[in-house]
Amino acid sequence: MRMKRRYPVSFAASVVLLLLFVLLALVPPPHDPNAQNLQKRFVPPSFMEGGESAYLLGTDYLGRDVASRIMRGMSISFFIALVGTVIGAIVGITLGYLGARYKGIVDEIILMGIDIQASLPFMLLAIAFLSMFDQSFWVIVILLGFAGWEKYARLTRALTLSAYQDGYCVAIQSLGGRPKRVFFRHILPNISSALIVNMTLNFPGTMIAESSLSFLGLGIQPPLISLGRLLGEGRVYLLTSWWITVFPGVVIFLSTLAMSIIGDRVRDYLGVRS
Amino acid sequence: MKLPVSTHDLADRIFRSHRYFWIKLVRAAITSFLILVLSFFMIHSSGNPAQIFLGGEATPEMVAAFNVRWGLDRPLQIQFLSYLQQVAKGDLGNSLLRGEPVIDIFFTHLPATLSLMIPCALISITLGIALGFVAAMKKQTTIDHLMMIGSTIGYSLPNFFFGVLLIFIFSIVLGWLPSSGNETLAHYIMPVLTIVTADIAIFTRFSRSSFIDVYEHPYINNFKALGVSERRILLQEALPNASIALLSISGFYVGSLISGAIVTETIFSWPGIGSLLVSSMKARDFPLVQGLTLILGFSIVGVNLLVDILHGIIDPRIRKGGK
Repeated sequence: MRMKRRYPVSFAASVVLLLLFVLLALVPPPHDPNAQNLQKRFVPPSFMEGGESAYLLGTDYLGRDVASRIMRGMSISFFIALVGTVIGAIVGITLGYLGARYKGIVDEIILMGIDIQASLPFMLLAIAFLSMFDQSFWVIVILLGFAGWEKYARLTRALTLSAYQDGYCVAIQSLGGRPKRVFFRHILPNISSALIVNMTLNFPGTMIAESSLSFLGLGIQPPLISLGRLLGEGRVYLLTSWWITVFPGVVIFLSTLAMSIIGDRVRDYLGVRS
Repeated sequence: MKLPVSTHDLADRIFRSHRYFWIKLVRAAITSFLILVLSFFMIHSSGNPAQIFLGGEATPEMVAAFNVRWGLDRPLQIQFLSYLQQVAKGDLGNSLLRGEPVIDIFFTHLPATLSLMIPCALISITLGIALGFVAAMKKQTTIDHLMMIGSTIGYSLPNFFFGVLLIFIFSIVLGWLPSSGNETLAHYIMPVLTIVTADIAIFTRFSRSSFIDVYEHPYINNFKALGVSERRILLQEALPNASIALLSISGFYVGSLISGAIVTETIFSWPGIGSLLVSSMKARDFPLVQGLTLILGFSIVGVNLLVDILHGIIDPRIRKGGK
């Protein structure tokens, strides 16, 4: 109630914007995002002088349509962030549950894993990881999944431990409910709001992590397109053709911002404490 | 871990009375070991280093000579042991491209990184705490909401985009600031701005909620009722309590500073450890990547251990709570 009027306009705007982005990511782009046209290099956006109506956001250094590349980049970046978030959630929730259920040495090991994961920065781990494996699509998806598992594990473990003390859990257990059933049928639905909040709040972080890696040239490799990579490649041409860099950057920023605002709102709505 | 309570064995008592510290120490040791293993395998799982470094045209003799030169022809466990020995002696091998010892390259690049990170950390922490305090005091007012929106924006703005945007505006359009290098004070403005924007946002959010937590305690009201001044409550009660909470994220913060350095230094061609790591990764100079990862990993473990020990000393609840 007291939070009701926080972000009144921005929440609605965020939802609309995100839906629009998802739609743009799903529809086929007007041009082939990888089709080169060397006669149409560095065409400015259509609203600028010298722009062409066929290229709404201009073309890049190989004459590829910036708008189409952004659309394809959005679909890949959103997909990676989404799957990465889900992998992180599944691994984290499972480990958190195991720690809470078995306690003792299992719990100690999982807690240690949480501590270790939390202490090592993502970028450093990513560089170590990527120097061992090819920089392929699924390696990066899994890497991003593992970057976030520890938060879910911590949350699930703590919430499950306290749920075990609650009346409903004690009752089901004394009725003979098996631990797995108790967790999946009773505890998980009860703690899901906190986990959903964590997922929405984690999503922008995952997206930024992937974009940063791709920006540095260490993430998604061509011919696949990621928003971060578009920004990293276009940076060289900032002096003459800012649109190659600025538009993908704006899309990343607006997506993460919208997602953060929605996450905050969902948290307030579900009454979960950060 | 569960020792019989009846034993009055000295070691047992030392362990139990310092359980918190022992657990942290064991964790630090295991993390260090994992970092060692990880860094060791970095060279070995990245395909065949000889092939990567010498290129496709290398003859089998050249590959064999390379493998002997770097000891890659021996069994893995022997290689690992000799790697441990080397690391223990402070020898991290030589860079493939530069030929110089990794440790020397690290130290020539360290000052540039520190000269960027230390001001950034100081600015982020002080401004973040100050803004968080204001937001907490003005909780649920327009000022608070504006600050929280500001911090959401700061947090969502990826530093690589913000950095590039700053270069576009201040170097290209306006021509005011240099976009690469670290020669003059003007070179510091954009990189510092890039790093602190996100970090201030994080610290503001975190200290806001810590201050709100502290001020919700009844004893603060008690002090107010007794007529203790606001200033004194802040300095003697709220700030120490909130700083304990802040201390717990400082380990995480060192990690985020390193991640920030990797991205920001690359954007601004800052000659520090971060840009070195990215460029050596792209050049497939694995001994250098390995050595840098190891040093950075160990530094993080060290800082985290220090923070945990401090935390345990300052706050008995943590020490005695066990976990």
